[in-house]
Amino acid sequence: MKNSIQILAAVALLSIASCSDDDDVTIINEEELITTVELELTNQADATNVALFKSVDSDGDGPNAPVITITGTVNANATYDGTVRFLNESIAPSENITEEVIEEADEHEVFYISTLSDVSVAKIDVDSNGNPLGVQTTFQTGAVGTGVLNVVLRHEPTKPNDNTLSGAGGESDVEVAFTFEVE
Amino acid sequence: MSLDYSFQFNNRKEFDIRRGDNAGRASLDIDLQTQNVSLYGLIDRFEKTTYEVGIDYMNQVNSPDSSTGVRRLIPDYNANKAGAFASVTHLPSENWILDAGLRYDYYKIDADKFYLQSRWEDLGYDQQFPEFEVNEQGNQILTNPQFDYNLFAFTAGAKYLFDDHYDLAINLSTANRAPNPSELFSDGLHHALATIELGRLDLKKEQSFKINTTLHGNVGKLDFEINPYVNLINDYVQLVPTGLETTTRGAFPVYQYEQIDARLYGIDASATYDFWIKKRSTEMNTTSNELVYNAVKLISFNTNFSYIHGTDSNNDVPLIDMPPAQWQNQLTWHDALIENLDFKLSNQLVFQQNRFPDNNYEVSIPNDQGELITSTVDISSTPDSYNLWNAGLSYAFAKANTKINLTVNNLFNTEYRNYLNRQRFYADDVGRDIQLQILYNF
Repeated sequence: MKNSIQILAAVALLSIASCSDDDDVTIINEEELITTVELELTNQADATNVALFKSVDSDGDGPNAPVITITGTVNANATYDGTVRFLNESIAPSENITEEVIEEADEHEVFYISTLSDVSVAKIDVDSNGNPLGVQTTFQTGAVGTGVLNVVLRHEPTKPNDNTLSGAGGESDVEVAFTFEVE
Repeated sequence: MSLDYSFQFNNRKEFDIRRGDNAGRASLDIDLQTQNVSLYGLIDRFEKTTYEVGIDYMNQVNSPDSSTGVRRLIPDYNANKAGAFASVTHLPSENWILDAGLRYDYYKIDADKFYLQSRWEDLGYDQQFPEFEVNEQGNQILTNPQFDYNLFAFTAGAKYLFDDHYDLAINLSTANRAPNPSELFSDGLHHALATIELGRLDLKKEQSFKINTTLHGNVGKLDFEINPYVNLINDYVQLVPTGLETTTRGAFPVYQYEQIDARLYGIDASATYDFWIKKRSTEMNTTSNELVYNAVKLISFNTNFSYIHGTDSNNDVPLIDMPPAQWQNQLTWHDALIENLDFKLSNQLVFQQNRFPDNNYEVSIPNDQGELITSTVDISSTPDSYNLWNAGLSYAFAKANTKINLTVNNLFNTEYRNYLNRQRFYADDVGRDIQLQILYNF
């Protein structure tokens, strides 16, 4: 008899404990996600000569790969003003993450790695410590050729550094490869 | 008869390098609340037979904080498990010990999870599990997966004591295991490993059939145990690399859970030999039991070997992530030089795992001319064998209730990589590690 009372008590406890709460689960939109990288190059000698390199990955770390579109042409032996933009287009309205990168310039740096040896990239903007940031650049092209341009945004790199990814360290917030054709 | 209740509340926070207003905010913030209640009964009124029975119940509520601004690694879920068991131990004679037991559990998990719509469709869940869909919000979809499992386990064993020196035991068992939440719900980038991990909603329960035998002997200064076993597991859950996914942050390897039938066998063997035993004369006493009790091991040597052979019997290939054979030896010197000073030296030899499945895949990456070239990602090869030495010194201050331990792991700072550590793709394992521990008993 005593046993069955204890079992009943246990069953009662169980039924109390199994009352579940059905709280609404709220959606999390990743505010820091960068879906879109845009690099715009404008010829210093001809403002109508604009090339736009764009990578859009609307589902972040979802299965869909980034979609890359390149419009306009880059001419040989020319000088271009370069501007890079980082956007989060997964939320509406979209968020311009470049502003945060510029605000925290001392914790960020953009790297441009070209496999074309006669394309040189100079970073013309600096952070509060006078170290390069790389949102604003000057591209100098040489001979005609096709290669790959890697655009990498590093968070918390060593600054100043030797302008290589391994020397800078930090964490890649953006790592995008564009086919880079000089015509 | 006893009744136990336990409650555990766990808040876990993980931090990452973040931008803007989110700097300093946790990337992962999970509250896990677990309650257990169990009722246990023992009947030992019979001379040769003991019965044990019990029922237990567990409730677990996992609630990740939505204000992290990072999609949840583990979803909100509520899990309930109720079980009952009975077992019997019978001693028919002085030489035999027989035991048998059975257990049943009912496990139910009810989750609320947001998937990226592209992921939900890519995994085919929109076709397979339309009943879980709640609503679409932006590019995500809220789902309510609910699963329940009936889990059975049965075990029977016999142990025969030959004489004072040897005994032999054999145990047969079969058991079910329900998939855990990470096997079901993993979805997305695993930041520590830089891999994308994908769970599976259609995992079934595992079922194992195991035969385990143990031969144990104690002859003079030598004590040894040999333990061969065979384990067949139907619907064995494993995590395998399947390819690459590219994101704005670069390309990441993808690992996905899958189920196959597995066949495992292996052997564990260990032996201890006491070279030098001293009986503390001051404590010597008259009864034979106390004589043994007061014997002090001064130098003992312990050796340990383990080997496991795993096969995916559906595809007749080796199982992934099977630990390589290893052999450990340890020498312990008690009261070394002075009383209360202990010295330990151990060696761990880990062989290379030569049995692994080929999960390598090909990727197209641009070369310096901007042309796409095909390259193989070798994600399957196993690290070389390695040999580690560890040493330790401990001294007990008898009067001060204090003990000091000094341990050096990986004494020679050997560079090695462990097959079972997925960080092995990026870095060597831990180098020389010196630990000083001071224990004080109040």
